[in-house]
Amino acid sequence: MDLKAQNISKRFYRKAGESNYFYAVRETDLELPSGALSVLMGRSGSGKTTLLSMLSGLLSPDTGTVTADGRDLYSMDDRKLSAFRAARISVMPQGRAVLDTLSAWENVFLNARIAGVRDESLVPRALELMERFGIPDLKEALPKELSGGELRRVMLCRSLLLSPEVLMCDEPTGDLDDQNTALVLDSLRDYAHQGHTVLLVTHEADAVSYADRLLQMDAGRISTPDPV
Amino acid sequence: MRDLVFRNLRGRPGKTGALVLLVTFLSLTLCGGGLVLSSLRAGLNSLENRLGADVIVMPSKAALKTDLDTLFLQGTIGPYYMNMSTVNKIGRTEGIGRMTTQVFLSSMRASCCSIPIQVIGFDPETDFTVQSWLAQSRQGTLKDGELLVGTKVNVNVGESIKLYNVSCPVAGRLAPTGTGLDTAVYCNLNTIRSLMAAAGALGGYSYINGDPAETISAVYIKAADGVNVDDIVNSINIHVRKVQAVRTRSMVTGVADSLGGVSRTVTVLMVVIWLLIWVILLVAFALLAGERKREFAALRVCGMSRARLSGLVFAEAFCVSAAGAVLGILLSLVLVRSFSSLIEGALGLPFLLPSSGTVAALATVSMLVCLLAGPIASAVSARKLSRVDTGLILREG
Repeated sequence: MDLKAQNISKRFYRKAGESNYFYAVRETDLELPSGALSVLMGRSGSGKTTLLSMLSGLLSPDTGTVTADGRDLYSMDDRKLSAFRAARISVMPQGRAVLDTLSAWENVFLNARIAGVRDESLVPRALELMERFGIPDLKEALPKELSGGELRRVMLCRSLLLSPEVLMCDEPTGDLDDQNTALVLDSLRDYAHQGHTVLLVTHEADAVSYADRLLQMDAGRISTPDPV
Repeated sequence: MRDLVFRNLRGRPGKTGALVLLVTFLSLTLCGGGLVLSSLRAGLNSLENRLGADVIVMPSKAALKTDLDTLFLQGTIGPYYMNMSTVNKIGRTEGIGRMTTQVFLSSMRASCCSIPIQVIGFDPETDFTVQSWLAQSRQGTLKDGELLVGTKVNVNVGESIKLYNVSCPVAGRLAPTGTGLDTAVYCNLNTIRSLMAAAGALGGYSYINGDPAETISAVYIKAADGVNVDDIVNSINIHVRKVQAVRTRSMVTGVADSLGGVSRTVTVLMVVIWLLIWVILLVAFALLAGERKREFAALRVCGMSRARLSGLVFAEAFCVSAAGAVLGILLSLVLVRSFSSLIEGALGLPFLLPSSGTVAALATVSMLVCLLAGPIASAVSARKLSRVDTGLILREG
């Protein structure tokens, strides 16, 4: 599925009720093709996470449109957009986006549960993903018992479980050692090469060597739209 | 998503417990307050039913109104008697439809008596105030020597009570009235006269003068149809010496006035406390929702719609409310039942637990109100949460 953003921008007010605002993303055009790993890099505060949120249907832009296979995401009502996202777009956010009351195994199935998918074949896939990312023994562990790196891998398993057409990861290797970083980047590239659309937002310099497309973001604009 | 609701609630036992406790207080205030008010109303109705008469005449030595209050509300009786000749004079008053007599006797805290208790003797042939009550719990007539005990008298049916060295078998237990009459025992005139004779023989009752058969404590009068009750009262007070007649309605009115005051106070307190707790619940839901912003963002990231997210919050609030409501109802039943005597004593009003139908209705109303109050209290936070852009929460880090 191709994802296309046209002239999108987002501004935030520094303090509610004041006219003092800044642009996190300025009139940006972007196309994410399927079958390629797009890597978005940039300094902190350059607008990477805001751009990812808008591309994934989580944050409505102030201007412009985001289309997925020709459908304008933000013209859909919340129920339809949520169902669309649950079925086709998977997001792995930067922060701790897990339910503390569920075990790691249950958190891996959270997307599927919300999407209403109760396919038995997901169990071996979940086991295979946890095995691949080195957390097969943590099925029963609660999020509070996991390290930052383990938690990120649980979230990555969750994002991949339903084999979404679009996968967007925000700093997926943030808490990982070199070995696991390589494993994750390798997996994301493989997943993209299977025909999926993958956007990776990262600081990780090593990610450059895995990128099919490298995007550089600076002060709310993509400065090198398609250098690779 | 049902299991997610329960997992969320179970996963935060402390916070869930605190919310359940708040709803328990809501339910307790509503159901408990309602039970107290219903019990007071039931007590007043019972008092009216038990009085049965339009006029009560007692010896003028008795401060009549006070003694009636004492008798019916506390079950204690003043030691005042009149002669049968006086009763005959009262009987000649015009406009009387029915008339019956009662004799009161107090047992002593001494070796001659099992327990200190009030004994009320009534005339089965003329009685129109006691027997309808007795019929609720016992069929047939009361034999000489037998007693019926009030619901609060701690003696079992089949056992005996020793009064002035006379052993009297307990033939039955009376239905509760919520008045002082629940602490008394009842017998026919023959029995009470033999007890009075026994008491006189023991020298315990120096105030009993003359023949017990000629001694009466109170006369109960029902006016004939169309007769002004005040005319009877005035006629007796003017023409019969050493007695005082009083309209029972004035006594019931006095109790009803007190009840009205207490009811208003209890209702105002209930409303104020209820609203205070509800506001605390509202704040608690808001605080908890703020804490869970990240968790809700995670659910949104995973594809949950705003409507489903609100549904999740409502479902949690509903479960918390249901648990709290049930606990509050059970607690109020236990507390009001356990402390009914204490409440009765503190308020100085007749107090009778209402029928099971009324209790069920109160419990149902309390349940419904709490089931609405919890989710409504959570609605503000649910709406606020579902409106926040998930991207913003994630951006905040």
